Amino acid sequence: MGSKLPTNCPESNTLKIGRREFSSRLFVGTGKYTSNEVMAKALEASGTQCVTVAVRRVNLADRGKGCLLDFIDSKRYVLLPNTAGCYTADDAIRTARLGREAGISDMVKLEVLGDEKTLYPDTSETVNATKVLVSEGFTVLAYTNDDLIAALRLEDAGATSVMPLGGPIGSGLGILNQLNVRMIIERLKVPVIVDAGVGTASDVAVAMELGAAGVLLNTGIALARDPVAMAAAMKAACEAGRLAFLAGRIPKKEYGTPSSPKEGLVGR
Amino acid sequence: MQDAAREITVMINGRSRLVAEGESIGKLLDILALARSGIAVEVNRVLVKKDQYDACRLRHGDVVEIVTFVGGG
Repeated sequence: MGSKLPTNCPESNTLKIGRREFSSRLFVGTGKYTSNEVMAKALEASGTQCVTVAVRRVNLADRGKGCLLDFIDSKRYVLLPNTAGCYTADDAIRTARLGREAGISDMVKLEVLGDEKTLYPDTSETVNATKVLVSEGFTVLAYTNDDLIAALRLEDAGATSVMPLGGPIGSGLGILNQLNVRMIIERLKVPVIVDAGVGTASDVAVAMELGAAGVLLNTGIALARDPVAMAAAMKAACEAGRLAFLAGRIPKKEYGTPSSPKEGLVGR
Repeated sequence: MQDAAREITVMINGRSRLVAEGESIGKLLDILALARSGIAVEVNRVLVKKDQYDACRLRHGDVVEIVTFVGGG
């Protein structure tokens, strides 16, 4: 593990995704919060500029609850519709089109799952959906597993960003295979955003220290005991991890090397 | 003397509903008290663009989906 910066990771302070530029490298989800009020405060504490949302039927029967969009300042946050819950490329493409029509952006977080229990992505369907959506002018941020070849296929298919999971969605297990994630970051030319599995602040720092362009998380904040405090922690961790990455860490060694000089010891 | 507008059955968000024959999507949204921003509409799995809401008229058996953004990761 050296301190050389990979070619796809410019030192720029901003993260460029399609036409957008973000100064915050933290992307935050809007699901699972105990209330919209808590969500709004947590988003603010996180410093994020881009929040994911899901696309679902309007609840025509129960109109009582406040609308999510009432709690998200559209001047402050870019909305990133996801295709969560889709298990086929067709469903994901359909959902992406609806999301673009409901919002104002071409960006989509493409998620095509292959298994209900692990929520692991279906690579083949995700690649197919990416090709179609890219041809329709979407800016695709593709959620994937931590396999290098899957990531390369998505980049070849035209994804603007590739988003490997750290661990299963909502698991809080952190970055389970740091080597795999680092390989993806080093090989891909597009920005790599680690998405899923973040449990606490150090997981965000680890991802950024590996050289990730950003981190996307939801559950780690939303279900924390104090989501607003955790959001602030995630913000600090993202910045710390990025600074550490740019500073260039020391290599790991198995044996000790003294930090104080051997010369001039008294009595020798 | 005018005939009463005929009613037709359409599916809206998975539930059966009676609407006036030829009712536009725009009028339907007004009846449902839905603002046009922050939503998207499909009729028979075809996306209806916002500038088509008033021109798109419902027929018997149409399947309508009206979606919006909700919390998600």
